[in-house]
Amino acid sequence: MQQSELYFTNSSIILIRFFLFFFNPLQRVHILVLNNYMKLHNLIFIFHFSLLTLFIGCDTLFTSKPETGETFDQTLEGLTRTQKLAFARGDEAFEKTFSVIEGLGPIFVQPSCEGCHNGDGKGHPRTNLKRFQKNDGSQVDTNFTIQYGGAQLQQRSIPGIPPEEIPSQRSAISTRSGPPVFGMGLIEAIDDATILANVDSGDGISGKANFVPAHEMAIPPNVNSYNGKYLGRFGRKSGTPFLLQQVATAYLQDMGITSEFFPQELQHAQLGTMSENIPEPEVSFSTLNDVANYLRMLAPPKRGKITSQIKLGDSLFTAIGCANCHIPKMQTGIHPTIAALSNKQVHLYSDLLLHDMGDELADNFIEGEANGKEWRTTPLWGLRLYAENLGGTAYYLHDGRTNDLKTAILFHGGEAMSARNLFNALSNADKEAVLAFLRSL
Amino acid sequence: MKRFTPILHHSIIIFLVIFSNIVFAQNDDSIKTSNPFVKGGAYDKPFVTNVFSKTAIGGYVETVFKIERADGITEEITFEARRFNLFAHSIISQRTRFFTEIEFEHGTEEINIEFAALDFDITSFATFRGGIILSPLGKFNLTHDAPLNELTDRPIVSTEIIPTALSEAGMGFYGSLFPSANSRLTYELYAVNGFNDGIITNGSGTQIREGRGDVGEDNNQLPSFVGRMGYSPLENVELGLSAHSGIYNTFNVDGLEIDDKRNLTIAAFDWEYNTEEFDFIGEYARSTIEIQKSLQGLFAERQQGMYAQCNYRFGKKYFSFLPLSYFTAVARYEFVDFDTELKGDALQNITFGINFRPTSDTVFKLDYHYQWNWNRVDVVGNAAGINFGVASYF
Ligand code: HEC
Ligand code: HEC
Repeated sequence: MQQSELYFTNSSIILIRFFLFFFNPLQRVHILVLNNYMKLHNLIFIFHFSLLTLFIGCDTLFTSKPETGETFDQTLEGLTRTQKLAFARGDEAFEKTFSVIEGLGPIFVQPSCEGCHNGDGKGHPRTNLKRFQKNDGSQVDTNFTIQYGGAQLQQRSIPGIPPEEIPSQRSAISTRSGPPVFGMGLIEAIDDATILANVDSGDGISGKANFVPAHEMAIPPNVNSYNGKYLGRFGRKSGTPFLLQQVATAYLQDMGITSEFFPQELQHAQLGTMSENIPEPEVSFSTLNDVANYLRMLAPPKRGKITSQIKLGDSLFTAIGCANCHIPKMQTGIHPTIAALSNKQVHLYSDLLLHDMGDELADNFIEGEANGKEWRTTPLWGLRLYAENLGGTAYYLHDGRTNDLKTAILFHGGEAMSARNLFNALSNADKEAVLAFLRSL
Repeated sequence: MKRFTPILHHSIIIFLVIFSNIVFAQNDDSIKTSNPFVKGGAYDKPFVTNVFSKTAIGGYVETVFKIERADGITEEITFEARRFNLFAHSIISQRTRFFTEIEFEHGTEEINIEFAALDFDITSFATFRGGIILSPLGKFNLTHDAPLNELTDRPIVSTEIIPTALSEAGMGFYGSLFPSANSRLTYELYAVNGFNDGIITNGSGTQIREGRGDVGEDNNQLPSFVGRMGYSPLENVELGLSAHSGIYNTFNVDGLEIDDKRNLTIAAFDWEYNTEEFDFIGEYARSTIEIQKSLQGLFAERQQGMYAQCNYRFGKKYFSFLPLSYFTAVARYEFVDFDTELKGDALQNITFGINFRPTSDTVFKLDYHYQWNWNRVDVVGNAAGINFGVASYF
């Protein structure tokens, strides 16, 4: 505000000078300007006054910033300037919509990260992606996956190229909507031991870790390896261990954008190898890094206002067993590069582990050690702002199948069956309290 | 490219020297012909002054100071040297004329021949025109010169749905008919190269302005057609209907069929009503873009937009030493829907401005705008800003 006022004071001086400069070459102007001085003065006064009025109504007339903690796209506190610069670069890359001449496709799902993670929040079910595979219930037919150009369907394609189609011989199709992407650094900074401590806690809820292979370029130094595999944390089935890998995979699988991680274009399920004649890699390694750092530095939003009803809902949430999986808080360890992530309490409402969720939610898709009924507990932080980032309607569960919060709870089965039944048995007021609590996160 | 810049600079300086003589030689408002074919269009430019026996030159220049904020964050405080255009026109013989306009955008970042066409009068109601033609699609495209536009920014419908300045290589006819003493019917109809695949491949989603065709060669061996009919029941009223239609994509290469033919059609309706003190102007345009199945639902197949503007002139001779000076107050409303199938992906903008013209050919513009833009999931963002611009014919 002050800075802008300064600009205006300067600009009106510039304006006077401009007038003078403009009229000077006409010689007689000097006298004329004096004659018209009052008029000129009035004019400039009006000009100045109106600008001032505009700036008093600054926020109304010149748009206002959302409050801190009320959106998904804000930075963590305590970042260095270098980190903020990386954040800004990553932000731009995340928002970027690729065009065909910039390398989009030849087959793809969406042309931007933002397209499936709106406002760094959820994806609209319209932008859901699909994966397919052939399995016998416990073993994936990897030859089938290779033959059909990878597990992910790219149903969009650039001009002149037909899209992929799901082969009829597949046994499973998994439909997934984009989860929110704030707080990724905090999730990454939680020590393996903290997560693994909740594995099979003997409460009838089994909590299973997904140990998965990693792309060698994404493996950070000093990370725990479990027989050459790593603890998965990202994705709906914890199928991805590291953020950088998640980012590089998204560029290739979701947008058809190659990188040093994946320098080759996707195989088309029906047509095999193809390219759009743009030299690979289509994004640089530093862009991948900027985007990963951007995601790391996105802060989770603040809690909403806490009322007595919400406090009641909070205690019911624990009492009926929701909190056994949706663990309210965890602690981060030491993050090697971003100090703002170290030793922080993280209120993510998840154990980041896999749970059998029953037949209704099953996709029969095997991913690493996750079977066809298992899903990673969805973090519930930021739930109150989901709708705001989707134009007023929130969509829940891995495929965004419902926009009703209560229905989302009633879809819980398998290990969550008893919590769901307990929820169902609550009085209406208590149910409302649980829902109100969720809507305050 | 770099190597040519000094030459360019020199030629600009030489031009400037010539023009400054012209400017200082002229101390009066220019005299326009009484009833031009397109008011403010080709052949109706002020200051186009003879330098050599048959050829006349002139031009305009525009610079803007912008302050722009979006969702509470200052995005821009900057000067923008927008454009510098040069016109030349030549009366070759009694029935033959040539007009050209060269545009330098953002310094020498983009140099375009916006217009370069030969006119030959066949009869009193039909003139042949061939060359690089300013496409008669909506009135604004024909009269987009910065000193004519009362606001610093062009209407968004006239940049995004009709990609002003749209000029294409082509040939055709134009002329005027006079159904009665006071009324006039004008027409323009040309075959042109049309748009190209850039609509789909060069931007984020469907972006018509990214697919402005090549003047050197049509990408698909099929011409497109563009035409406009203007009807003036009275001298101060004009209603215009225009359309541009044709195949935009490359569907065959070396005689081999590689794709289906896809059509782009843009249709526009424009209006104008002028009085001594007021102008009411506006334009509505819509586009239909055929796209392949695998992009449907992601890329727009239909877009539309409009603007409506009111100008009010006042304060003539407020300054005794500037007898030709006056002020203009301007208000514009505009709306553009980038994908009519989606609830979002649209924007709305209001602008208020005040101008000062020391003479009618030079304008100092100050305006304020506030914009609402909805993304593809219908989340609204806001932007607002102030522009201060100077534009002048010379
Ligand atoms: C086509 C839609 C789509 C696009 C485009 C997309 N994503 Fe995703 N994203 C998803 C889905 C679906 C998941 C869940 C993946 C899974 O279950 O394996 C996901 C997961 C993620 C996650 C992990 C979130 C979590 O909670 O574990 C991150 C981080 C992420 N995406 C970042 C990106 C980035 C960066 C880009 C752009 C380079 C991008 N995404 C582009 C759909 C998309
Ligand atoms: C056994 C572990 C477990 C228990 C107990 C559990 N959940 Fe869940 N919850 C999950 C998993 C796993 C998902 C993701 C399921 C999916 O997307 O298919 C989930 C998803 C959700 C979602 C949807 C979040 C979103 O953004 O899509 C909500 C809301 C939710 N749970 C609330 C609850 C409530 C309330 C309770 C207590 C009645 C509860 N959960 C009990 C594991 C559990």
